[in-house]
Amino acid sequence: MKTRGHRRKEMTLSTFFGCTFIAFGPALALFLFTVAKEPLRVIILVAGAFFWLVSLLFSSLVWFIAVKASNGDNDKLQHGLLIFGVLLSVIFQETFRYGYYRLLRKAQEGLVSLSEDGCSPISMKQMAYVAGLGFGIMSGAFSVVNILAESIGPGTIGIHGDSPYFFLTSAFMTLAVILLHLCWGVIYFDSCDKGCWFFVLLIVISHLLVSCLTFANPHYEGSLIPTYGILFGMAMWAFFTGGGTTRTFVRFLGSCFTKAQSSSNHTEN
Amino acid sequence: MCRARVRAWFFPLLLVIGSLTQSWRGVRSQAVKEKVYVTLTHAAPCVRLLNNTHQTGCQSTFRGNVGVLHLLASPDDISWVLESGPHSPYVPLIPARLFNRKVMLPLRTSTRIAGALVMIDDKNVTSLPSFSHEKRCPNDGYGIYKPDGCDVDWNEVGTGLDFEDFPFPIFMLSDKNETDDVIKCYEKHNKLGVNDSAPDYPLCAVQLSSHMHAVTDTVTCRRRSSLQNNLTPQVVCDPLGSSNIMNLLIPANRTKSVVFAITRLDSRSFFWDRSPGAGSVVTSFITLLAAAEALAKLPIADINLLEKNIAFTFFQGEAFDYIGSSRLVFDMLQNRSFFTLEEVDSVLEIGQVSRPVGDLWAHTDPISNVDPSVNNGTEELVTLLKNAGLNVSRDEKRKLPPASLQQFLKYRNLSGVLLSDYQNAFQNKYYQSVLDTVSNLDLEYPSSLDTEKALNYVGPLAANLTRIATGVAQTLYMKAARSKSGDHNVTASNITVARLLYSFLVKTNNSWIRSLLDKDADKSLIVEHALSTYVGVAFISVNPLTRLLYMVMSNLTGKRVSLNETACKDPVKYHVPDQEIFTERIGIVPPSRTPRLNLFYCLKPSKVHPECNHHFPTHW
Repeated sequence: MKTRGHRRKEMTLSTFFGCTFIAFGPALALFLFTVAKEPLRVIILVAGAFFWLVSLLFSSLVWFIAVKASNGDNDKLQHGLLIFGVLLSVIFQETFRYGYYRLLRKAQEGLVSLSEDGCSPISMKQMAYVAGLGFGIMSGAFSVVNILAESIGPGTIGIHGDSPYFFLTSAFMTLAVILLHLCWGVIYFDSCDKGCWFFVLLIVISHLLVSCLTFANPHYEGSLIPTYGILFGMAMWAFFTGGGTTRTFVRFLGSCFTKAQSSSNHTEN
Repeated sequence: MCRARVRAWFFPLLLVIGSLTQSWRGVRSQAVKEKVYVTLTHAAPCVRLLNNTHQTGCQSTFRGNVGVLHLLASPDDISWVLESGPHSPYVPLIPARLFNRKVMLPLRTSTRIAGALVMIDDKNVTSLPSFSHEKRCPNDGYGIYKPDGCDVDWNEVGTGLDFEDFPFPIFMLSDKNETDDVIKCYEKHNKLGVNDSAPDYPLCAVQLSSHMHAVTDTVTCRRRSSLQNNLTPQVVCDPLGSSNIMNLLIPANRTKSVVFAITRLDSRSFFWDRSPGAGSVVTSFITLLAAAEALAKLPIADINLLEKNIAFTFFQGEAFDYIGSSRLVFDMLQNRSFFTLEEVDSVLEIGQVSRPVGDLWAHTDPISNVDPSVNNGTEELVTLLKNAGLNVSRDEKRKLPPASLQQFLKYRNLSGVLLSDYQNAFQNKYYQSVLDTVSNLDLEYPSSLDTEKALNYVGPLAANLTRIATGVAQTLYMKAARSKSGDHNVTASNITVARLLYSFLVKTNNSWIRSLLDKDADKSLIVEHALSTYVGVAFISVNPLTRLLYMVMSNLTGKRVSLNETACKDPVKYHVPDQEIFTERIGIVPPSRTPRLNLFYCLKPSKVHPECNHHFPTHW
């Protein structure tokens, strides 16, 4: 028997659907419009998701062992281990991103040799985008699915005085992280191609930063606003890395107004 | 293009450290579930019970019923829940004093109610004058009288809610901390605003899960659970039942007739497995146990003077239309028991005797006593009771109250007396309810006593019950004796009564009970509270109270024999004469007070028999 903060059944359902679509809506749209029609991109997306999953497996293994080996009653220690786990996970994810980059480079050579005209059917930049999206979707799924499952109800958060915006802010955070993974993927692969390791380090640091900002919760203004700021910055960086210029951007805006072309054409280089 | 390094390092690093230091607030990572729900672990549900024709009790949906809490401080608050409140469905929070027909029946017919929570404090003395949900005529229609055949409303404060069918779950909150938490949640979120305006979401609510699979009645449930009707039968209901305990003073084959001394072992309440039964049942069977001990301790010479046997029988399942007694009578009619009904000379039943020292009443059945031979036997019993010092009165015209005796009388007119502390209506105003506890009995242990001293504390109740037990024992002895003259010293022990009271009303974890149980005994019998007197389901394992009573009975009426451990375990092999059931005990051997391990004594119980009983059609 449980007591809990109550909303009617429809309310919790709408919370569930709302948060799901906030978190996964843009990613789903990107998938449908840019990835779904091309089988090669789908493969790269799924493989990217898998790589992210393996990185999570290793980092959670380390954290699990650390927790089991430690004193469960010591709150400070447990919290410290959590922070350690988060930081370690970020390191693992970026490492596996590098591993995926190397794999895709090798795949690139194979695709070139298989093709009829000596040109790979998919460019490195496209692969970077799709890989980033794959990482992002899987990361988003693991961040938010258990929270979404609780949001169905029949109760909502609040009986212990926690903020009732928990579900909503989790969804927004997940959205930010998915899009950030996308941007990081693009910049990372490009930096590795060019050998600019400082940028790679910047990406790692920004990933660490975003993860650590979540420790500011439940002060959501402390975590969400900086995260979205970083997302905006990264998005701009990725846009320019991917080959976009101010002119192409203006042209894109114009096309939106005239509705002549869909935006997906502009991501191809 | 790569940029200068130094400046870029500082800023994020500071932030990382900043967030690390800020988070030393002792916040633990919690599952989301813990942020949303508070689980109440000390709540007792109301379950569905079926009988031959009806279903009673409560039922929830499979996932549990969800409803907004609303406190019913007065009966008028019910209109908010039933009509005006905008946040239906509701789960009303009902204090114990409002748990009656007037409040509960309108809830039953409303579609806006998802369940009910009843707040009952069963640990302290109650301020309620009465609290009983049994029918006004208990076990109506299953005794010797037709339905509605009660002369008086024996349980005149009874609401009959036990036998109503509720389409929603009802839980009892007995733990004070949990009740306070629930009320605090209600006051914080659900209280009505100014001018009785409705509160806003989010609101405090409960989810009550007590899904019951059986419906309609026993016949339907058995049909659905049987292999004949269903290729994949799934048993969704179980019969209620347990074992009766019978103790014979003399081995069965030596005498031609028997005097039965009977009482009941079980009680019930509206909520599942919360059945203290202190006043309705426990004091009665303690009295009979003390009487049995008194007779068993008589010297052999005195016992040889007995012409008839004496059978002390404790019936289980009597709360549910006489499961135990009807089974015994059935077995006797089928010649499956030690005696037949013809061999029964008379029956003395100990009813509720828990009220303070006062008059006692001997209830008899007017119809069977029309026969002069039967009436003679009955009069003899009453006279013997009076001679034994119990001030009993008999009203020859009044019908019998609900009693196991009625099952005997159903098949044969014999002399029977029900001894009780009430004349017209039960003195116990908490008959068969969760408030029939030791707190609402006249038994107060002085707070200065520790467990050991409290165990042996002989207060007014113990003294009174000892007096009654002595009287009953003397009556039984004289009724069964060949010659009616002679002075035979039969006295019950007040220390035994005191110990029994402590063990069965306060807690079983005490030195005396621990010394009774042998080393293989079930440790679940040693608990920090009194055992529940709910009969429970048959077939699984014998009800804990029955098991404990069996061991207590063995100890009180058995004789210690000098056999070593191996012989004790295997009497057949060692050619021990008069092969009876031997039981090995490890425990305290008086006068030493310290229990010594590996010290045992072999006990020869005087024919204590558990008999399985579940009578069809039965309660399921």
